[in-house]
Amino acid sequence: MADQIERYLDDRLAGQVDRREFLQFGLTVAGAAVFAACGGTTSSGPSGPTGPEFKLGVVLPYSGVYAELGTSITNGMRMYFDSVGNQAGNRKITMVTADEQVALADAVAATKKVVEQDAVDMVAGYVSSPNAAGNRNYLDGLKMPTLIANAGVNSLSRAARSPFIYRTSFSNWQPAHPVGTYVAEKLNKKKIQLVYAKYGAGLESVASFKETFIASGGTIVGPDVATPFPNNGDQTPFVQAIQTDKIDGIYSFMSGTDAVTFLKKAAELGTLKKLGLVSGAGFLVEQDVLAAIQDAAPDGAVTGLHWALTLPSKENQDFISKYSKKFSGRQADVFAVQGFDTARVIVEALNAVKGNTDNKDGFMQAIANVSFKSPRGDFKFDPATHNVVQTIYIRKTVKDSKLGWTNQVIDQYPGVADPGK
Amino acid sequence: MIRGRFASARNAGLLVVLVLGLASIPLWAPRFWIYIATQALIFAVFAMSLDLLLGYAGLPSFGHAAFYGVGAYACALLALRQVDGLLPLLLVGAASAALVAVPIGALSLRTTGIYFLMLTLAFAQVLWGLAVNWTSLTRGTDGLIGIPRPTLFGLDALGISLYERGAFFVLCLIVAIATFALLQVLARSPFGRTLEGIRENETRMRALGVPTFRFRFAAFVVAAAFAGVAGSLAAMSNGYATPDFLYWTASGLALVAVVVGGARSLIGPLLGAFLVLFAQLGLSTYVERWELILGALFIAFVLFVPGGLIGLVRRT
Amino acid sequence: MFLLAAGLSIIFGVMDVLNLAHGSFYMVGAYIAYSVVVVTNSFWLAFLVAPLLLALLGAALEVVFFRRLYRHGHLAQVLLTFGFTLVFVDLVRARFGPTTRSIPPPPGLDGAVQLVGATFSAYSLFVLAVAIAVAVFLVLGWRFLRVGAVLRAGVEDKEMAGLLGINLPRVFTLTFAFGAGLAGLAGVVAAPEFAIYPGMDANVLILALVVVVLGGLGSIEGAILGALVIGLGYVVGTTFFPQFAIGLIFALMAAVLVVRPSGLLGRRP
Repeated sequence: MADQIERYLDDRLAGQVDRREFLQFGLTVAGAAVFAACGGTTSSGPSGPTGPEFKLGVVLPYSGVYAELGTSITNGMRMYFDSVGNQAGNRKITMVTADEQVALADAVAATKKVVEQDAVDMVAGYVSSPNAAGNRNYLDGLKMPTLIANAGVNSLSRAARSPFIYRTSFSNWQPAHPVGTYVAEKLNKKKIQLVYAKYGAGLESVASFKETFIASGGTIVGPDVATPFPNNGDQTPFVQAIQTDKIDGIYSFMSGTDAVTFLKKAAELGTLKKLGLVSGAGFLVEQDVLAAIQDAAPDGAVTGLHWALTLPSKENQDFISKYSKKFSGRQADVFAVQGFDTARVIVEALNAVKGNTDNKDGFMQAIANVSFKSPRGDFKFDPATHNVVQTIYIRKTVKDSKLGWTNQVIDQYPGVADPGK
Repeated sequence: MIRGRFASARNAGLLVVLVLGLASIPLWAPRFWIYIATQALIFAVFAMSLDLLLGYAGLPSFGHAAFYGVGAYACALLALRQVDGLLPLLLVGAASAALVAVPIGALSLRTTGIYFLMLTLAFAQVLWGLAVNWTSLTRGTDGLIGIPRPTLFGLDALGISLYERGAFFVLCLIVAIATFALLQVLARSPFGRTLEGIRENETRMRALGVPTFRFRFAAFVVAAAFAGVAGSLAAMSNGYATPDFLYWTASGLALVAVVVGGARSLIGPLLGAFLVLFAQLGLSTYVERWELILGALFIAFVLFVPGGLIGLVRRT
Repeated sequence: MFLLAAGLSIIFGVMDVLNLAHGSFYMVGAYIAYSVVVVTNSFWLAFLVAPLLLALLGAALEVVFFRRLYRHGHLAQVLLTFGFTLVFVDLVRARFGPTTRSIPPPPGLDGAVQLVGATFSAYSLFVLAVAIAVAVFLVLGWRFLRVGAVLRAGVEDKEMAGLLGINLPRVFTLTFAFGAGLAGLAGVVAAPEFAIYPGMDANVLILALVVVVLGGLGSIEGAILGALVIGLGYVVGTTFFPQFAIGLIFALMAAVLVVRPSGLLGRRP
């Protein structure tokens, strides 16, 4: 069935591509003047790019619970594009944004809008995993070059991998995997209870932690504490289900509002103090959560993530200060970094193919080849999974005299790559 | 009487213009807008089915999405298990929704007014909870994805398929017209008249020996079946079914479409569905402050166009 | 929860207005609390200011919008108030951004308390205390104060109350303001307990509706009882079926309504 879609869409696209190639042919023969007369170019001054405009469809949430993430990612993108004068490969880059919102129906509409109405050359975005997965067949069928800028669902690097979809953010497996080893071996905490929001990301993160944790001699204790997602009710019963006296600590996957309400309740009830260790995927204590809960923060929590505000590298410190300057004091976060890197991948790939995106395979190959030093460290793609290969930092939550509550890097696992199955 | 005939002639005229206008959409509209119009048509089928309850039977259901969702999931589950064929899938959507409506209707219809509204909401939310939690069947909040569209009675051998540009739109248009016609006939029939009689004065109808409960119940199940058809269309059209289909916001949106369009007219909900969907999907992809605009639009509607769109048309 | 439901119940019962914007009042109350705490660092000031502001807002909305609509029936109200929820959530997002905010419990209430062998957070107990205080006040006021008598008269029979020389429009405005004020109070009280974000309104609204309908419309005792049942149901639900707690609550409501179609303490229709 999927083949049928693909075949149909291929045919459709073939017509389009032919026209473009024809156009390009005309361009080389008759020269730039004729092309400009044909219309369709946007020339910005004598030194500006002369090639056709490169339209990037950005599908990110600007309303609903994930709006904050969408804003950060967009800011990150904008910042990088501005830094290269919004052009690459002799093409002017224009961002066309559409609101992903929360529900798949809206994400599908937003995707179709940028693809069909704005005729974009490429799509980037997707915060929520179901939305990325739900648009996957459509984008894949159209052979639309796509960069996933957040959604972490493992399958996009595995069974549902597409030759046209690469991921610049992470797979849910990645940030959790080294934490299992670290907790069991380096911290020697062998009895851990799992606490997570029960949805795709939470389940995948916990499963990944379990893999390495048990392999390193750890035991999972007690019944898992699985909260509904999102949990709009009281967190007390879930906090009380943590068996503080039987365990060395917890591994937790929660983010955003859930993390805020859960940690606050755990602090109030004194549960946090009784826990030997709070470990988790970094989202549990990312800057957005810490800023909201302030002194209810779990002091000394050990979490894994592909970035930290305190990374001392020049790239990172540069990024943080410029970001805050550009967006009126807003603090950089991991999502902004993902947006920044997504934009950089696009720019470098465009430069590599000299703006020729009509050859889809060539353009995708150029994307696959991109590698650079990101604020988060070394950035490259895994040719097998189309997922980013990156350093996972083990961080410790501390109160810094200058930054307030933040995460200090205490160890790192370079080159963590999703296993692909 | 003359006025009535005049109005119905005008309605018929409006209808013809509407159908012709809609049918021409695939010829000129860009793909994205065909897609939006398709969604609007599906939503219109859903809204019209609600109008049978709300407008004609006077039953304000706030859980109509339950049947939309059940239809969608039934269709999705079968289509994913290699069941092909347009009619069987639509019928399954209708039948499963009607089946679910039997117990819900039997229990809900013991109440009226706001209590009926809340009870239907409650049942829909229970089903939503089921869709979220029964992960082995529904895949939870991730939803069922990759649902194929059915082939058309062997027509695909001739190269006609529902993946063609505008083809699915035409299908939805046909279903919408059929729904409209069937519901219209139903509303004008003695059955429909009796429903209206019950709405206006139940005690009197009961005194006349009309088994009012049975009439309401029948209306409830029929409306559910049409909602189920809309749900299966939605599943086929987009290739997914998620718990959002069953959530109260979907019921609420349908209510809004009916009220904005003007209840008890069937055309009204159709127009309302278009307005709401274009506002929601269309606006949100273009403007950032779309919620504000949509909200203001609703407020303005209530204040200045109390009869709904259809009232506006009738007045001018 | 109860505070919210009480406000909603009064508005609905007395005025026969189905107010979907009630959740928005709650959200706005929480954001006012947040603003006040950020500026003055005083939770108690917010505790006073937010309900007052919300009452003013409620009164203004009643006079400008709702007054024209009483004769148009529930559906128009649903649409209107639904419109308001969209407007409010977008305004809040425009002003405060989409970020999740939170304020700490006031000093002295930020710890845990041991009671009969179990640990409770002090703030949760405070919330409980506020709820009980308001409940007592409402029940007594409802029965013994003149305002209560007027409102009860309004619930029972509007026309009769009007004939008795009660200025109904003014009573309605006051009622609406009072209901909105209660929602604002609920917002302040909830602010340190839960997170503050655009969208918190929708989550709480449906639950409040459930409480009101479960208890019986226009009955203060009903709202109290409804809140208790739902609260207990939720705790039991989360303990035994953590994933299905919400579904369970709705199942509970369905069961109650099937057996007693007008709620636990509602008047027979």
